[in-house]
Amino acid sequence: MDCWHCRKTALGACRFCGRGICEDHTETRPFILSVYRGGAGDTPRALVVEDALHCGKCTPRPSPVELSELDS
Amino acid sequence: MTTTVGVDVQPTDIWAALDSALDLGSLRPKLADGVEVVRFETRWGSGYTMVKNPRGPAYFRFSAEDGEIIDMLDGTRTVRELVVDRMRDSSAFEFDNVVDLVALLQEGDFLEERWVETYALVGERLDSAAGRRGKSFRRFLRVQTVQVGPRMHDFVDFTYRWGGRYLFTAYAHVVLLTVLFGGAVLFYLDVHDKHFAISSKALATSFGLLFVLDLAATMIHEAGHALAIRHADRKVLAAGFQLYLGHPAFFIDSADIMMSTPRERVRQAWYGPYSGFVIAGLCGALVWFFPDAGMAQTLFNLAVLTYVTAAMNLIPFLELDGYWICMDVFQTTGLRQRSLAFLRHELPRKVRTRAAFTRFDWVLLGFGVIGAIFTVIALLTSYLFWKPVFGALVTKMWDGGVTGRVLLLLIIAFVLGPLVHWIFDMLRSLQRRIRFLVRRLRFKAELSWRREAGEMISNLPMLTMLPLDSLNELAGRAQLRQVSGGSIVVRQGGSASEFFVIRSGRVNVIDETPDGEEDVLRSMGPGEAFGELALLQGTPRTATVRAEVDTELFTIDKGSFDRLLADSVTSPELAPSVSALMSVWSMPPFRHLSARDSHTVAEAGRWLAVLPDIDVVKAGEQGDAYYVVGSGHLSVIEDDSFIRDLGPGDYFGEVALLLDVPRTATVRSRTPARLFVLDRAAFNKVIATAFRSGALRVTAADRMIQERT
Repeated sequence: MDCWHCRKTALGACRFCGRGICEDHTETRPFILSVYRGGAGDTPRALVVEDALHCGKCTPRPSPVELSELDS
Repeated sequence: MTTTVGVDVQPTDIWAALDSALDLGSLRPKLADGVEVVRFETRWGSGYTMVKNPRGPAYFRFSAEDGEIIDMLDGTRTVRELVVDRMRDSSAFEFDNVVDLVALLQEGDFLEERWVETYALVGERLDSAAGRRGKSFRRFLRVQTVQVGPRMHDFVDFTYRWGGRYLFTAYAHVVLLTVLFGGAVLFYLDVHDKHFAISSKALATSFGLLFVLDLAATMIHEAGHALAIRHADRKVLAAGFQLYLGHPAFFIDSADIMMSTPRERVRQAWYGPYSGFVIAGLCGALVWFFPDAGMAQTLFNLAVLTYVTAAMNLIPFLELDGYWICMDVFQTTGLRQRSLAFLRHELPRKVRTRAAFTRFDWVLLGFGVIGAIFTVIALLTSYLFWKPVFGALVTKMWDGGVTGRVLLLLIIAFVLGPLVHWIFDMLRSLQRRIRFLVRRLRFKAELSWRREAGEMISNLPMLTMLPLDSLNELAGRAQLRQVSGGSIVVRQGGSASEFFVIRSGRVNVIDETPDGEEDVLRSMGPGEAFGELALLQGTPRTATVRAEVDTELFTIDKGSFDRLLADSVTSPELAPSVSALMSVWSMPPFRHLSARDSHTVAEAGRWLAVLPDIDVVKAGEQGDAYYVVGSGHLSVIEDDSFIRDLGPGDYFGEVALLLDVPRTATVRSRTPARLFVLDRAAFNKVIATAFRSGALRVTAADRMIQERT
């Protein structure tokens, strides 16, 4: 697989969208593996990877998206 | 991230639902409850709009035009509808402005639907978990501020209701002004008739006393501001203690006053020094009436410090209260920078050419002159008048050895903190100016070859329509490099970071084969250029370039090339997009767009060539496209009657970008015409691309205002 940006051989894939990235174009950002409720306040907690690969091209939407259709 | 197992699956197209949820063009932005919008008219320009979000709180200042868009954010229109509505009002395709604004308000949590920065929160939590220990101390070292929370407003409110409000009545002003002026006269007499001066028996006592009194002076000053904020029915957001360039001081966060009228803002800024002058006058009067009282010396010291603090704050060039007052009186932002820039550049030019002064020029000139005079008088008065006041103490401390001198310097830093800050700023500015002058001199020395570089670049066949500004900047950014014969200029497979134009000499373009052989592809001489393809395509160098003889090259770095040249380069594979970009820019509705946004529009839309006498749209037919006339003329016809002519730059059909509505008129070509067509799918793509573009948000974030404390 080639790097999305420069067409050099990719060394990894973006954790968010799957695009290939070479070392020069690698960026990192936290990735949420799983969310659960716990602790005294039963507040949401997240298991995260602190420095997952990010291609810098895709835009993980920061605010959760409401999908009421999933209730049906 | 989460999975749902064992749920009855209904025939819902969840991907369509997700598509719709992510389609920000269909978002109906509505300002959250409690968001306050205030529009201000100004004497110069078209005014501005302030928006306050109580969640935070956060304050944004927008242009008057953006304010008109904000007024439309009532949840009844989608983003796409807002774009079309604005198009009708301004005749410009302002998708960039609308999307910027909505995205900025959304990310600032100004909209009804809450915005959660999930990834930023995760990053923050991970940071705080890593270094919680000592964090608050490090924070103090960084910002040098200890802040008291929102309870401060309750305290100010209590003080205002239980007496403070009377300070704003006409009777109170008569009393306060009498104390202010009468006290100042008596203070003068304290110094000259009764020979009061700042002094104390021991050095440590002098230092400690002045330190405490200096704090008292700033506290009185900030209390005046706080009460004026409450009087304007605004909130004191916070208060606290900070080190202002080593100068200890109390502060209040007065950002909320920005939502008030200029008159209230002037009052708020004035009440700091005003309260200081009154207290100082009161102390001066008490000292004059009771010179032998035990507290007389302390009161005199307090009067001195309070006068210094109040007077310092009124110097217009210091960007303190005096500056804010001038800004609101003249209704001009960035007054100091604009005034200094005017005095430095515009004024000499206008005087030289005997050009007429506008009213705004007079404001800038007036501010500059008054500011300079005020500063000189303040410094002169300080020197002449304060010599008898501080003289004894200064002499005593200076003669008291190293400790005394250090303490003296500390006292000067405390008292003159803002002035010291200003001097630092001026020195920094002077350093920048000297650096600029050196660069300018060097540039002048290099002018002959830079001019030659500019001419050579503009004559390159691969460049078309290079604007003069870009050419000038390129000539300024070009570097001259000398390469000896036989040296490699670029290596095949290497990364591309420069573009080259040959000034003199000769180079060979060589293909290096895997078995080490070299194949000379071509030879290049003066006026020819190489290295553009690898830069444009972001690929490694495709060939080696070696100097055949001693050669001089003009080089342009990648950053300048991308910014100034890339859009003008015509190479076979790029020609269509460059020409499309230029065509889009040539049409008035798109003229304001950035290169990136124009590119988006150029990619989404298409061109349509029509012969004369062709009905482009017919009355009664359903339409789903918006047209802009690139060239030619068309007629708008209703019920067989000619209504109006459409020429280059005119547009029609914008409603069709939103709805399947029957066309109300027929548009028929009168001459051969070229139309730019943006259909609904393309329009949706333009909006979605703009929302995804981080660059837009960065530009928009510039509109955030600085807090004024």
